[in-house]
Amino acid sequence: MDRFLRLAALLQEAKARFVVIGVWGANYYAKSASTLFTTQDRDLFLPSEPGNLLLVWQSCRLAGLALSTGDEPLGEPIDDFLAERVVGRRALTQATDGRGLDVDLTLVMEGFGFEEVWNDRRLFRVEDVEIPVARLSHIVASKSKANRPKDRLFLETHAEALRRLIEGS
Amino acid sequence: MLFPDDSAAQAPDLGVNESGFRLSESYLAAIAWIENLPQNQNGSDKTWVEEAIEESRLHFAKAVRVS
Repeated sequence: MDRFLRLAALLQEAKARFVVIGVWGANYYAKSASTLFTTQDRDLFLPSEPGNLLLVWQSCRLAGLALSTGDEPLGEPIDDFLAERVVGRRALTQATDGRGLDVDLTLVMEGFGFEEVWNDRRLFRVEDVEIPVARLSHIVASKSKANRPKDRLFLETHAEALRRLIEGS
Repeated sequence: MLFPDDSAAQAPDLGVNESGFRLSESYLAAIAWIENLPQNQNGSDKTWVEEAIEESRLHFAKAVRVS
C-alpha cells in the first residue's frame, strides 16, 4: 500500500479527525493528470484538540514516520502533556519517512476554523481508503487570505488552468 | 458565456477580497463549477490522482545531470 494511504488508513482506524488541505487537497479536484500541481508536502488540518493530535502522532509513528517541530525532533514522550503544549502554541508538527513522504500537521488554516472545514469536507476514495478533503473553495480562499508568494503563484496558475479547461469543454 | 452552466450564481461568498489576494468572479465561478462536477462528489474514486503524482515523482527522481 502507498505510504500516504497507509497513514490515512491508520488515522481512520484511530478515529482521528483530519482534512487534507493545500495544493495536495486541490489536486483531488483536478480533471486530468495534466492539471495536477506538483508539491512535496501534504498538509493535514487538525482540530485544536490535544487528544486528537496525540492520535495523529501515534498513527504517524505506526506508519514509520519521524516527527519534528521546527527544526527539532518532537520531544519524548509523546503524550497528553506534550500535545497540550503544542496545541497551546498552535505549533506545526511535521512527519516524514525521509524518502519523499512529508506531511505537515497544522492546527491553523488561514481564514477558517476546523469545524467549518470539517463539516463541508468531501470524502474521496483512494483504493479502499477514505480521504477527507477540504472544499476546493475553502482551499482557494485560505490561500487568498494567506497571500504568500507561493499562494499567489498557485492561485494565478490554478485560475489559468481552470479558464483553459472550461473554454475547452 | 464563459461557463457551461450557471456556476457564477452558485459561487460561494468567500469574503476574501477585503484583504489578501483578490479572486476574480470568473475564477470563483470556475471553482463552483469544478466542485459541482459528478466526479467531485463524496465517494468519488481518486486513486488515479495518487498514481499520477507518484508516477511523476518517480520519473523526476530518476533525472540525472548530463552536463
